[in-house]
Amino acid sequence: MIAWLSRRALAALFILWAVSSVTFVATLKLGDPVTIIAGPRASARDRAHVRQFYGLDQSAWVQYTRYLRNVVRGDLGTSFRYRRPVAQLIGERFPRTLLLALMAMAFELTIGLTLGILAAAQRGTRTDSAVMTTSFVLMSTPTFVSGRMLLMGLAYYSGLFPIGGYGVDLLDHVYHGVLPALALAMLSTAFYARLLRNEMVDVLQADYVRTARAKGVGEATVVLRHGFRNALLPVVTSIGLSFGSMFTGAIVTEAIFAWPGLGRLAYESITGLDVPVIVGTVIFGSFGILLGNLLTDLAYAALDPRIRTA
Amino acid sequence: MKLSESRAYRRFRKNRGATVGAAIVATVVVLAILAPLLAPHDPDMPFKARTLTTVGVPIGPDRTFPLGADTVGRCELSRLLYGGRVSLSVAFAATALLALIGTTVGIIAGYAGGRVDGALMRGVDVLLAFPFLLVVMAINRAVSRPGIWVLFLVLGLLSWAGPSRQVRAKVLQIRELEYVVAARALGATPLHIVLRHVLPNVLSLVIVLSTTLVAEMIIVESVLSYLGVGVVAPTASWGSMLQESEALIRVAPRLTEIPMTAILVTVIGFNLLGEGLRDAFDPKA
Amino acid sequence: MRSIRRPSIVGCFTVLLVLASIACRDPYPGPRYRGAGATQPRRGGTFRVATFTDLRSLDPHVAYDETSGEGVHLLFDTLVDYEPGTARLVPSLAERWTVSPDGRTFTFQLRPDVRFHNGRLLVADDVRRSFERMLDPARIPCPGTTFYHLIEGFDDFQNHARSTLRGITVVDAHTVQFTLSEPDQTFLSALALPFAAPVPVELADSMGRDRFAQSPVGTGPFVLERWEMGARLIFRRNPRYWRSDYPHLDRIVLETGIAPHLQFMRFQRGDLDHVDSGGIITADHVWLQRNAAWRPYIENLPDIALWGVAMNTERPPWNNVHLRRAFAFAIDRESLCRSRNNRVRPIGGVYPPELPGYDPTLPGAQRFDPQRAREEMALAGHANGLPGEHLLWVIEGDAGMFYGQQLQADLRRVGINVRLRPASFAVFLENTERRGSAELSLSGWSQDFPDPSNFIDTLFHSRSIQAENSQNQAFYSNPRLDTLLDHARVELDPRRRIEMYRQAERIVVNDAPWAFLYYPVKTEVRQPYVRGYRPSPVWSHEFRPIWLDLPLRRFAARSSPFDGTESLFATLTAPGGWP
Repeated sequence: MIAWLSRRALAALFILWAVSSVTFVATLKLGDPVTIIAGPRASARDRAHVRQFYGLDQSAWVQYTRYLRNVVRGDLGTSFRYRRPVAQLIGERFPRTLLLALMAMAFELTIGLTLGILAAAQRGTRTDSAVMTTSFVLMSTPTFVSGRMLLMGLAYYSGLFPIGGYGVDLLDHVYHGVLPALALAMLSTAFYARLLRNEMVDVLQADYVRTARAKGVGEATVVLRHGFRNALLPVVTSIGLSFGSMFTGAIVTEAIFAWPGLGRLAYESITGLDVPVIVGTVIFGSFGILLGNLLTDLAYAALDPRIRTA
Repeated sequence: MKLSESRAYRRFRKNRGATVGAAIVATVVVLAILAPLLAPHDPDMPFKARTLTTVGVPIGPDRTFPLGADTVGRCELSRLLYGGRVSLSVAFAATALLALIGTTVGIIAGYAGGRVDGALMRGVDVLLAFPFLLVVMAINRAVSRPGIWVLFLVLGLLSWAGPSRQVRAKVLQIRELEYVVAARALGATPLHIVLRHVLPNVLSLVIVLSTTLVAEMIIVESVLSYLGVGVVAPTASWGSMLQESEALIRVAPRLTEIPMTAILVTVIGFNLLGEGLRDAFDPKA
Repeated sequence: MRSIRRPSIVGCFTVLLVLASIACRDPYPGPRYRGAGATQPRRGGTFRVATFTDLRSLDPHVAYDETSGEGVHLLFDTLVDYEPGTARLVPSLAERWTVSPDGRTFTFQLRPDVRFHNGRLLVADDVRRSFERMLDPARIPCPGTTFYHLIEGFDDFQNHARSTLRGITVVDAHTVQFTLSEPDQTFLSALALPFAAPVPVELADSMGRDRFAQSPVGTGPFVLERWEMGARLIFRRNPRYWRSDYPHLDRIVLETGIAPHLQFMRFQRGDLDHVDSGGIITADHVWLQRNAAWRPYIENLPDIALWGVAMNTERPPWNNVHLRRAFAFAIDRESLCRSRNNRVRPIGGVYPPELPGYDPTLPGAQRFDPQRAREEMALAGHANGLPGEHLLWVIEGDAGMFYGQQLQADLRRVGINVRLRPASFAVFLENTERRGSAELSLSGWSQDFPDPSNFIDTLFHSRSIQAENSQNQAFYSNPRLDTLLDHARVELDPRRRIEMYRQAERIVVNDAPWAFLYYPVKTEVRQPYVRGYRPSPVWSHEFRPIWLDLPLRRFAARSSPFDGTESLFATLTAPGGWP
């Protein structure tokens, strides 16, 4: 177990190094950051000073090695635009994105699984058909479409929710986060609903249910237990995947709802050519994905004894 | 075995969802191919005096412009058709590229095994560790001549990792099939085995994957264009149409509804087709 | 995946229709709240605004972008300031000043009762030390030092040959004197820029540059209460402010990162108190124009800015004046502005209206004249069109492409073929400001301060040509113009000075190194209960004198929700149908 973990960790470190290097090289082509820092009206002399101060006058190799050394120490560099440590910026924004992701996950699981059970219980009827159809359509709707509709419908026209933004205290944050979390959750809600419905329908037709009926055990209990168990692995995989993407933040959703999270930071840094932040968020995002993979594998091993031997 | 006799085909025909999906996809593809013939006007031509009111609001549907004009005064219907062309071309090209690379890598890794497999899968891991949207956006920004070609290259080159994994898993299965083991024992060359046994079996998986991937690529392209890092204006794509129409959302909402509906219908069509194909090839696995 | 219940096809499309038919009607046709009806300013209330871009720094010596300027404007004062709503310089931290007869020495008498936010009194030495902080490249990467390059000893100071600025003298505790190497009529305007704001230098040094930028201390009417990074800033009234006529507000809340369409929706609902062109996208602008209820609260003011196509006069074929004139006369400016809902207006010369020196009767002003354009093409030797395709650099984004495509179409009609080259702002500047690089670029210039020299000298004087980062993007060099501008810069009589700048404009317009196209008009809307506000021709906003007419009252009930707009599906279901 330890051996397996340490091998995985080592592999993850290697991958992280590869990702950061590729990104660093790519950012060298993003344009001269001196204009961003000094502004368009700075004189040539002022620009030279800026260039010197940020070490932008040194060769790419020197910059790269210096960057790697800092990353190992946890210093992801200083943002060109904000003049603050990138790690600090990420640390500020990440909890906001995390809140959104957790709310989205809560919605996905509760609504999705409930709908799945509902559809399975009413299989063959119009309810089943309606749920499946809606899920299918929702699964095909890009987030920026569903996000815009939620914003217009539930916030602007009805006045039920705030029109984007972040709020002042925790309760306010949650209130502001309902709509973006719903938008984020839509795809997975539909996925879980369909998944669970299908698993449960299959279980209902399986032998052990007949046995259970014959033995007099509550059919519902059996169906639920087996249905959930079969659905568990795909759900766990899905959660693991979304865990990883949580670290980059939902760029589009945060843009639509003006949610000041990590996705916004990443997007702004790309459009603003804030290279340290770009590299920092990519590394952070990779870290999240790798962590998510690791946790998913651990969960698999815990849940399915057959895999443990692999 | 003729196509019409294959069991898969018969299953597919019976599946209503799948046939509708196929019909949608066929319609959309035909419309996209025939766009130059069907479009009433040049999609990039702003007919300012004819199509914009004195305050610059685009006109609604009328005889010459069946779907009205867009924000700059161009024919919305023409842009829809050509935009479909662009969105679908990017999606198809990217999917073809990534399917090609993914299948090749997956087959090599799965069949060769050992060191080769290890190295290739390490590369796959690295690729999968990149936050996809971020990286695509950053690369598009960095490129000095953005456009359709760059877009499909970037999408194709960054997305093959997932499918390659699935292909590899399938290849591992196939490798242990009886007749394949027998063929190896009889001394058949790896290339022969790959071509005759592995590839045909992997093909159905790749086809199903590709269909859903096209749908995904359509969405990704539209998101990228919407964020401003996709196709370059004045090229119409459904995503860029959505982005341009955002400004006039309350004055001319049809400019948002039209590309949105197009994207939704097309994606649903591909998803229906994909699920239908999966059921046809592999029912009740 | 196992076999699935096939989704009903009809169901699919019903859902689609429902999703798509969330028709965009107007739930808020007019203002929701109005004021109590007071006529005299009263204290209190929180004023809420939003911006799209984030603030970078609140250090007045560093911040150069517009959004940061909003915050800096509330927190810091300068020696002289513009009277709110006008372009007239009036005393601020300086009670009065005198200028020596040769125009080179400025002596300022400071108010004795000004305190920094931390309580310390402002003295003349603070002014000197603030300038030395700002102008020293080792201490602060200030992007605006060039505005002060005429202060005596500037070069020595910047090169660290001397540790103090010879041109700034502290006469006594409240008198400071600036000596310039040449007379400069724009020096007072330069002193009104935020770069010239006094800061408590010992505090700034002890805090360190980056912390000071986040927790600034100035002398202004507002104090920074809190900065939630990436989300909002909260400013509180400065109780010890030296003016008696403002501030009135308790607080100002500035939310950052709010997209324009969101800003407007919030404004409509009453969650924001003010919104400007940055928060009014085209749809909303058109809606506002048609809306009678909001009309009394809308202000339109021309921006002192200029947009046009800079033609690289050093690169053939653009060294041919006839070709340049043809270009200038080929563009249909009226149509361009109309397609932008008249949020920009045509311009034919260097100076926009509102800028001193603007000449409404400018002879030879550039305008749309296809006949003349063709004549000039013939004179240029390209009666059958200019061969080849020429690159027109534009800043990426919908505005650049929008204008670019229309220019393309107009130019094609006289036989000039251009291809658009969109680029990010940084890349755009890199290329268009480098000598021998770009041929054509769709460029803009906005004022640093309202003086004609700020436009014509920067854009067209040969001194402004650099190998890199040249602000003279046309690389235009005309010795006659240079001499005229040099004389105008030191001319002491204001009327003669303006006349000289007008003369200079005529030279430039005729020589057409730029095709002057349009200037932006900014639109601002305020809630009915926001009083004391006048749009400023110089700053993006002047929020300092605002007062709120509290308590608020609701307006009458809303009108019908089915107001006006057309939706595809609404037209499908309406009687009469479609097509």
